[in-house]
Amino acid sequence: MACLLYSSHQLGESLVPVVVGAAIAAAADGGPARTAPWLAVLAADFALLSLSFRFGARASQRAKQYAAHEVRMLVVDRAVRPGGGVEPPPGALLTLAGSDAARIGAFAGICASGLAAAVALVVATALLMWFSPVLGAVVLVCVTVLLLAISKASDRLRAGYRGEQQGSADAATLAEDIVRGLRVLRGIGAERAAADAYTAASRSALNAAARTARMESSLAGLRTLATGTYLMVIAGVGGWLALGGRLSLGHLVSALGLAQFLTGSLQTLFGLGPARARAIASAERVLELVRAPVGVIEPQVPGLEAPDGRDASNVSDVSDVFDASDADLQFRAAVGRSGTALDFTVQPGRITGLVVDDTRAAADVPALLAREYDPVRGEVRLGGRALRDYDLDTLRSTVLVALHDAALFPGTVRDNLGAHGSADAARTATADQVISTLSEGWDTVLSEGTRSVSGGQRQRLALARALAARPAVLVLHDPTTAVDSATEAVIADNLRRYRENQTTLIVTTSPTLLSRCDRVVFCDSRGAVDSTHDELVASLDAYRAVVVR
Amino acid sequence: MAPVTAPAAATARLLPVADNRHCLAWATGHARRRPGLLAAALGAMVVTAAMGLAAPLATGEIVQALVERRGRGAAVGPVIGLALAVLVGALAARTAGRLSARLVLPAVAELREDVLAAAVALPVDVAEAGGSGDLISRVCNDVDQITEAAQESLADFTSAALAVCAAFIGLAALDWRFLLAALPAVPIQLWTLRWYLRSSRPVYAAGRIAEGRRTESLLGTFAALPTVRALRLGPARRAAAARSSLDAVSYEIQATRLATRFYGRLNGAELIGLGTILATAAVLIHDGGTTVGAATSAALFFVGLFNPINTVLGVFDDLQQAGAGIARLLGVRDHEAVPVPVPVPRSDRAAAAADSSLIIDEVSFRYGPPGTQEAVSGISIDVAPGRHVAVVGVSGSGKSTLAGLAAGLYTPGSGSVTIGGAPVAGRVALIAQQPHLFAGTVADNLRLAAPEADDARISAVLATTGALSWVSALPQGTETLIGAGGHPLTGGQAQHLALARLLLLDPPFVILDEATAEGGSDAARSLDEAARAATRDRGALIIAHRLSQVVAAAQIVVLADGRVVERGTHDELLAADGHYAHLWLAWSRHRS
Repeated sequence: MACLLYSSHQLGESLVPVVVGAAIAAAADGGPARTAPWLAVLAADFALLSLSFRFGARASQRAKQYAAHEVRMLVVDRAVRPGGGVEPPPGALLTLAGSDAARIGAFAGICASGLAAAVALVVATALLMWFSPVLGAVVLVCVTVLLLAISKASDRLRAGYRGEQQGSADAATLAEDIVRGLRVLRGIGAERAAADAYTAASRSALNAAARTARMESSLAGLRTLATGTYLMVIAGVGGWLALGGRLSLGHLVSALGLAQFLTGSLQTLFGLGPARARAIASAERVLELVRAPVGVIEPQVPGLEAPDGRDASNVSDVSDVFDASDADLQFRAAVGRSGTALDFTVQPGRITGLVVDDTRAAADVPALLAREYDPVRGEVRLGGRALRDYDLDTLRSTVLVALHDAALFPGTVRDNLGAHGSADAARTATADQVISTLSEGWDTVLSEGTRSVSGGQRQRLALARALAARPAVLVLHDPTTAVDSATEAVIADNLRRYRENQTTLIVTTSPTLLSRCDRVVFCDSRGAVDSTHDELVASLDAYRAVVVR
Repeated sequence: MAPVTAPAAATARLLPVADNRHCLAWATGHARRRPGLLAAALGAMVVTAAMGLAAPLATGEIVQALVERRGRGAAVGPVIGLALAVLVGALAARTAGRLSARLVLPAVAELREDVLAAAVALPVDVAEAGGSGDLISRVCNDVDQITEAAQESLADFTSAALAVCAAFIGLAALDWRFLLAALPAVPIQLWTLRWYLRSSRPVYAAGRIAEGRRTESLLGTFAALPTVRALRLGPARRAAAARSSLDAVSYEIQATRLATRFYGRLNGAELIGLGTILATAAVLIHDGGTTVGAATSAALFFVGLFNPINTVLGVFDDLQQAGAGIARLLGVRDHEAVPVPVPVPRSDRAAAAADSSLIIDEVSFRYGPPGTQEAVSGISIDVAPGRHVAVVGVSGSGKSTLAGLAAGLYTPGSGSVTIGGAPVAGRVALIAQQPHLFAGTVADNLRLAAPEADDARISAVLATTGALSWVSALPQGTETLIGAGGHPLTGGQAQHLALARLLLLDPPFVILDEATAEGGSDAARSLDEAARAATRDRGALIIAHRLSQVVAAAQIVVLADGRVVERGTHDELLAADGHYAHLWLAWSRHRS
């Protein structure tokens, strides 16, 4: 569409001199009055070229923007895939979704003008053929050779563009890291050190960009050379033919005029080369992300294999409304750096506390239950079936894991907590108190990175979000570390009521929370003990040492 | 066209934006700094453009030769001349590209570095006003856009301006009356330019803001992928990303609509100019005032002016785009740091304590604009050298804000924070509530506080805080990569490193904001020891929910709703049976 409009724009432009000539001829013949109709024709031609440019430019801008948008969403889709396995840090992902997507979009945007230029070139070459087959053939060969040469040269830029994008991704990653850790930096007066580190990254990004800019300049020189060669060949061959009497004066002038007119199209076509190289370099980077293996198998995606080669064929077809309220959760898997086997069972309908004396190992439990990764050894089973045999989405809606460092997202409190039935959950997590202190209550906008709420307030909002989902099995990891003791006690009591008769696992060392649990499992190097908080406090020094501090 | 309305979120607080004069001053300042380079780049561009004029000359020669019926050899001269011009032109184009890259790229890189350096030094509430997305978008997206616009416009402008000059001279040489006839187009063009600059500026500015929001939305998702997966928020985050992305796209398309209307009006101006010339020509030919040939040339010269004039005017569009970005960058770089008020002791107490105590004197602070609720109001606390003061209170009572004020991260709305009557900068260190690990090695993270510290010193502070055992057990010890994409550490371990880092810094005063709250077991026990090591022989303001941390403090200050509601020692406060006693009861019930 854009191509058609651009072509009609070019046609309109090429008609202007013709109409001008006719108007002056008319004036010479019959005086000023005879020019008037030609002026009308001129106006019509202007309307044609102006409108077709207007809509052509708009169409190609849309092509550019929506292509970039599609690529951006491709990056987002891969990033949020349930199976995980996304290695690049946030800043690098941002570069892929930002500048790489834009470069791919830019190529899509100029494709239309490139095509229009190609059409013009073909028409012109055909005209030349008609004037003089020899001239046409020579020009055809010449243009083909030049285009191939330029595209070959452009391809050599690809590696440079990749390096350039990598450099800006590194700088973006560092900038993001610095901004995220701003308070930490300010707290220790390390602003200068951070700024220096960024300057170093920015300089190496600059060097990569300067390298490609130098290569681009050489290519620009080459393009000028190629366009000039094209003109030279037409002038030389045309002149030689004409002076030899094999081409009429009129045809020579037309051929030269045509050649002159076409240099613009030729430059556009030559410009496609570097743009294409840029787009391909960025596309390769995006594809690397998109094709990266997932962290854990996603059974709902047929034919997709996890890194360990297990395929999805043995996955049972579990419906979304899978009832897990009577299912027990059997944990028998290696955790922690040392890979010690952790063995315990979460009874259905109970609130179970889990205390692991090794924090690293404790952190593995929620991660394994959320299937952030799968156990190296052993298995976790829900209702007797291994977690990895469940459809990921079904599993996560059944077993909801509220991670310790769960983030809130940019948006309103309401967006974050979910619209349905969250008032009750908010009360349970004492998040209603937090919300009432916010300037616009439920409609307060929480922005990313901004500490618009304190650590304790954020924990309470995140807990409310997890509770609001009312999953069959709820796993909480250290939900109240940033909350004061009085509030924590209130939350513990509320939680007990809210999750009455529903399977709940709380991984924590807080005695306030543990005292409200039906059962408490304590794990240390000697194995697991399944008892209650009071009994463990009374009987086990090791337990007391961990929780009472 | 839809009117440019700032979307609701755009009216939220954002980082500052510079005005036009400021941007212009920056650009001219840079041009002046390297006049030689600028002149050389412009020179190369002029040569490139001039060599482009060789083709019509050469073809003219050949046609002339044909008219004069010379032999084939006559074509050799012009073709060789053309070849030379092409060669020189190509070399000049290459040089022009290289020089303009040398002119633009370092200037823009320097700008983004300055912006980041300025941003980390801003009061934290200002720097974080727009979320991390606002700032990151400025140093990434805006910089890209400036680079592109600046490099393109420079070359385009030069060659087009040259072509315009040549054509005008040609037009005047034919007959000055044609030049007069071409003039009616000029006011229309100027008026169109003015209209365009006025109407596109807000669109570009809003577009940059929309891109900032897109960045924020994307970063929010990318930085929290485990949460997204665990809570099955993928579709919701995707929808949010798509919304913000399409919003930014809509501004780009709106800008293009304006730009095409701009070019449409310019076409109108051309039509009027050309029409006038043709009419003049018709009259002049009729009266015998000019020849058909001259009239044709004049009209064609004018037609030849179209593209270059549009290019020259289009450069204003590029500048407009670049300007929107530059304004955002300079806004951060040159943000006037709120002048630290010269501390005026407002009470005798502060005046009397002009020793080396950390004096927090009637400090108030609010995050929002005046009129909104204060986060802390009228708080006064003295921390004598070597003494420990604890701050407790329910979450949201203003403890972390107080910590930020005491450490100089925020500038108080009223009141002052001083040591010996001077600002605290450099003498107070804060361990923030949220531990953050920077991507890099363990040693890199520690050296942020003391870049010159050698390995022995690093090991020493790790040993003193009791972190050496687990750090040594990491795959590469202190050289293990941690932070985003590195070896995962627990929150407790991150806090442990933060405490070790504090020892490297060795400040006279420390502020611990929940520095031992994370993870509660093996690590936490050594965290308590680390905290003791980090506060030994230092003045300390300790914020803690874990009340075992505060029992020994010389003074405990209880905050509620941003005000001090109680203060005293542990025993005094228990006896008073107020807020603290309530917190203590909740804390100790399951711990005795």
